Amino acid sequence: MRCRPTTPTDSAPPAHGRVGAPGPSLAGLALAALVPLAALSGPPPAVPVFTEVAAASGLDFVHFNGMSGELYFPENVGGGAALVDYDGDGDLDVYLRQGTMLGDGKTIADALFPPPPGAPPGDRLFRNELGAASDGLAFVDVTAASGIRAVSYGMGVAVGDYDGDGDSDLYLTNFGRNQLWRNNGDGTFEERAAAAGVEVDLWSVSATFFDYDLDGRLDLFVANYVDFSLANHTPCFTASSARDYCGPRSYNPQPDRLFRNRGDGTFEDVTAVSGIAGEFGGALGVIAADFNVDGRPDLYVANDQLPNQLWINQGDGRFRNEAVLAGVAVNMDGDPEASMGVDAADFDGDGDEDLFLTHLARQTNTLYVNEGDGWFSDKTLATGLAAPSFAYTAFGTAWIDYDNDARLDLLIVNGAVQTIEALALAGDPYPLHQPNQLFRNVGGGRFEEVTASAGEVFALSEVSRGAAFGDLDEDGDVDVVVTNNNGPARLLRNDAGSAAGWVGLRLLDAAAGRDAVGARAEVRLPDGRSIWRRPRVDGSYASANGPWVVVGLGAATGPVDVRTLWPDGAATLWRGLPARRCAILSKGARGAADARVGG
Amino acid sequence: MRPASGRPAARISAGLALALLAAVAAPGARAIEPIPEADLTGLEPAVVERLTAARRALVQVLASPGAAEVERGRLYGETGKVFHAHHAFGIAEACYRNAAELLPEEREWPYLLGFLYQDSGRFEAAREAYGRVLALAPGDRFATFRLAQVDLALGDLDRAEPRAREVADAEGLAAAARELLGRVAAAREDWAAAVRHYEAVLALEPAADRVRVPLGLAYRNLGELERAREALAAAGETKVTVSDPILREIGSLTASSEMYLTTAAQALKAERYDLAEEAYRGALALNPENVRAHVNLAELLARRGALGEAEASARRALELDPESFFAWFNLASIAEAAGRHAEALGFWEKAVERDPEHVRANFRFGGALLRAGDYARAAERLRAAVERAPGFVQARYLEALAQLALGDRAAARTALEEAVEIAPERLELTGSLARLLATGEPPSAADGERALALARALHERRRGADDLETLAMALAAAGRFEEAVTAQLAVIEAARELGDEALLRHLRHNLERYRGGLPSDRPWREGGI
Repeated sequence: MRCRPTTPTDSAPPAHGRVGAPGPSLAGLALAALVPLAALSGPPPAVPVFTEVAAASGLDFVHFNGMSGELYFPENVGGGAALVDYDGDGDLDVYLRQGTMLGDGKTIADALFPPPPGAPPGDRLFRNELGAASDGLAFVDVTAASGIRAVSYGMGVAVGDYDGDGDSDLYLTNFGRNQLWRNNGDGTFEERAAAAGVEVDLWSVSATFFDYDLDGRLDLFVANYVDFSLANHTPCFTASSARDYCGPRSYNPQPDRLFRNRGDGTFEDVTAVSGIAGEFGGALGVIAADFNVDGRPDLYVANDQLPNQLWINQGDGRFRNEAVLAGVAVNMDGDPEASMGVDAADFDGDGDEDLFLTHLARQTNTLYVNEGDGWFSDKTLATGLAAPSFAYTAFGTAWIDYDNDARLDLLIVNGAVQTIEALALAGDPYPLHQPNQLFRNVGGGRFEEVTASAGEVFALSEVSRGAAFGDLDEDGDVDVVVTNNNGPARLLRNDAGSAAGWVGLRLLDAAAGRDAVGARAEVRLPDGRSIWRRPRVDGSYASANGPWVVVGLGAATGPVDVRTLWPDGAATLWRGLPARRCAILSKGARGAADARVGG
Repeated sequence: MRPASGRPAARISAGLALALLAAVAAPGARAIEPIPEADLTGLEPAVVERLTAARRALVQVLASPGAAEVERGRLYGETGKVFHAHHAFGIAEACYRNAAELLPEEREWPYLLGFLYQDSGRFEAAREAYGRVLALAPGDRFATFRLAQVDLALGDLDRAEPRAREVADAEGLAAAARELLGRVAAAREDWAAAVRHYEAVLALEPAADRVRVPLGLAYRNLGELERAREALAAAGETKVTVSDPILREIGSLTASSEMYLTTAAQALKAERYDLAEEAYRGALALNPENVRAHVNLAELLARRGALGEAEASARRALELDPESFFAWFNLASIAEAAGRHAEALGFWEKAVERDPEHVRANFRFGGALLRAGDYARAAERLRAAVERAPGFVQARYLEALAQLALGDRAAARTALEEAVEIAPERLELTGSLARLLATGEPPSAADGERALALARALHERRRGADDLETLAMALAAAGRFEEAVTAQLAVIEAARELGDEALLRHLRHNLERYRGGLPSDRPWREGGI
């Protein structure tokens, strides 16, 4: 969102300059910088909630998985997306991962589903040209100008300002060597994985930048999957003896990696000494959050068909996996599930991070409710989320308040990994597709499926994998970019959420020169309730969300007070932030009521 | 049935022909639906034969003008079972629906339909189907149990609980019903009741260790942390058995060797090696060319000590697929177990050639090279394992030994230091590091103070003769020779009982060094690694 500081300390940059980007100019802000957004008046928009506008807005991208009939495992795993303000102009741009042809000697001619004619190879970066199109959303492919050349077998993407220069860098996970694209701050990038010491060449899927040692520098966790390679590719079969894609148990899980940021542009591999190397299970998803509310960021790693890990930060550089006793290693039946996507947020308003995980068909997705101390209870059944997910294989997901009613809902994107018999019998050439789902939080710890009324885009049946969330059109509600394996990327524009009250927050650490990763915001509603939100750039599946927090206020139209809790334990109270505005809340800003939490 | 290969996946025309036959046979009498034809391309010959025969029999009967409704209904049902057995669920469903239509008094068909609906998440349809079973056979225990499962899946605890109670003592279902009651109690957060039910499950079926997870969490929620930890630590993946005769019958209809492999995998998880072996042999009877069946059987037989048979199975796998990494891996393991170490080295090499990044193969190969005295190559393989799996402390440990043998004390020390840092609870690593630091040639290479700190910490936690020997070495390295001599004498006293002359020689050698004011000159006795 384009939250432009308007105080005298602002240097009033041009509209498409580095407005609102974190940096020293923000350090002296007297108070939250507020700016009204255009087109916020008028009646609430009618349903549908989401409208698909990828093609109309120029987000022209078709994923290519390089399948040739050999059934190589990575073909089935798919790539993700990132919503990132790469050029610092305040709006969210879109980065999309791409595949390549797989197999020695294979060419595009061998592809069962060739890419569209003329489609360039490799990942694509699309710049958001907000306002250029009549409906407000327009994208331009700036990959060539950016200097990014990522023609690898792409999986996931993590976003973070690892070098503290005020712009967002990209870490790309691959089936193959990972890449770190350092943002030069002028719209171009350079590849620095080897120089930075993070050139992992295992099969990585998800990753996250987070500051585990609270030294103000972003560290990096890389979630690795299994030891499949083209050399050890072995045929796998269904129970009826037909060839099919292998599952994760056909290969060995790979250890994840943790890198500590040295602060000089390089990282130290602390996988072993941190304890992270001790347990692993073929990871597809990861999210960093403070699960036991001790002020230190922890990690939750979602593994495919093996127990998940809850790495509790010990505060001395080490992590301890407490997933088993915490009740989040396996589901309430004791089954390790095929965890793919993951998100953590406070859906029940009690101030702690609850976990939602997406799984294979016949397993149900799983909701683990945090009991406040880092112990969880599997409440999937009680919340009504079990039965509707049973038939679907789910990947990307997020807690989003799509209708801004001050309750976090769930959006889930689906796509099978094994042949759906009914589609095969009907002669479908790619019989893995399934529709996506939307669940509304109706309060009282219950959800109801609202997919049918969420827009025509939810009637599409595709092989969805990644999902990245953020307010792309800056109208005060959360939009979604969905990636489809062997299919077009979709942009789900939210046309309904901004009818309700909201406030947009960007939490900045001016000293570090970047988004305040790990910070939280308590938004005090006029009815006396508090809701807790935080920037969540990681989670989902192989994707990175935008750093802005859109906080739904429901019926509230007046100003709200917001208390920010910073990663170092400091707190700031921001009084009277007007609804339907966005605000940059910068740590250490003058005029704010600073308070140290816990002495 | 066909993978997502991008090719057209099914032929419908023959299915339409079947539907036409059905319509001719019973014009307007019943709502008979067409049976789609499965694509049999790429399936094992035995599977193709079984499915083709089932379909042919159905077509013949449907084409017969005199076929009675009962006969046609039964055949639809039996054909459905064959397709069900081969996971062609859509085709099985259509067959069952026709059978249920033609034989409305028989409970079997709505039951199987209910099962397929339930298995695919169509819970309301399943509820209706099981309801039909109960209307036909009130009190049917399996339908009652399945209905309870469906109610639970739908979050309808108030319906699920009484149904589960109804079958809580039923033959073949008691443990499963208790587990379901446990889930209901847990969903209601009645932890004491959940504990009662889960404990009852274990009393009925002790092997069903999966249930120890919800049991442990129920204890946790009751505040009984010790019991919680105990239960969670003992948890496994073995599920409660449901002895459903109809599903057992369907399982027996498979002609797919892959299905037998699945059965074997489940048996292995439950540590039922006899059943696993039977399943592998069943798979090979159906498809003697199933490489994975040969490989897995070889591994299992080796584990059970039948090395000759295991080797034959591994070699047969290699005949079928000379590139099979797992076959070479097995062969190497078997040769090692048989004491043919030189031969094993060659097999390990073949395995690693085929999957150079395989952690365990590199580790095993490295270990074999170390034992064979090829320290440089051993270090190389072990480093490859460590790079792929940084937390693999055994590999770091062996790497340290290889480096030590190569004379690179610094590299050995680094490897051991890292291993101790990763796994401080592994006392043998601490002991090894202490010994390494306590020795040196020349003696100035030792780090006596650090060795002593480690050895003391170790000795406080564990008081074996080995640990005392380590302490003696560390004391000597720290220049505290009198104490070292006292400790070493105690070690020798303990070692006498073992009657190991080589060990005694080594201990006396060190004793003499300590008496002479010298630290030990080697961390382990010759061949004592």
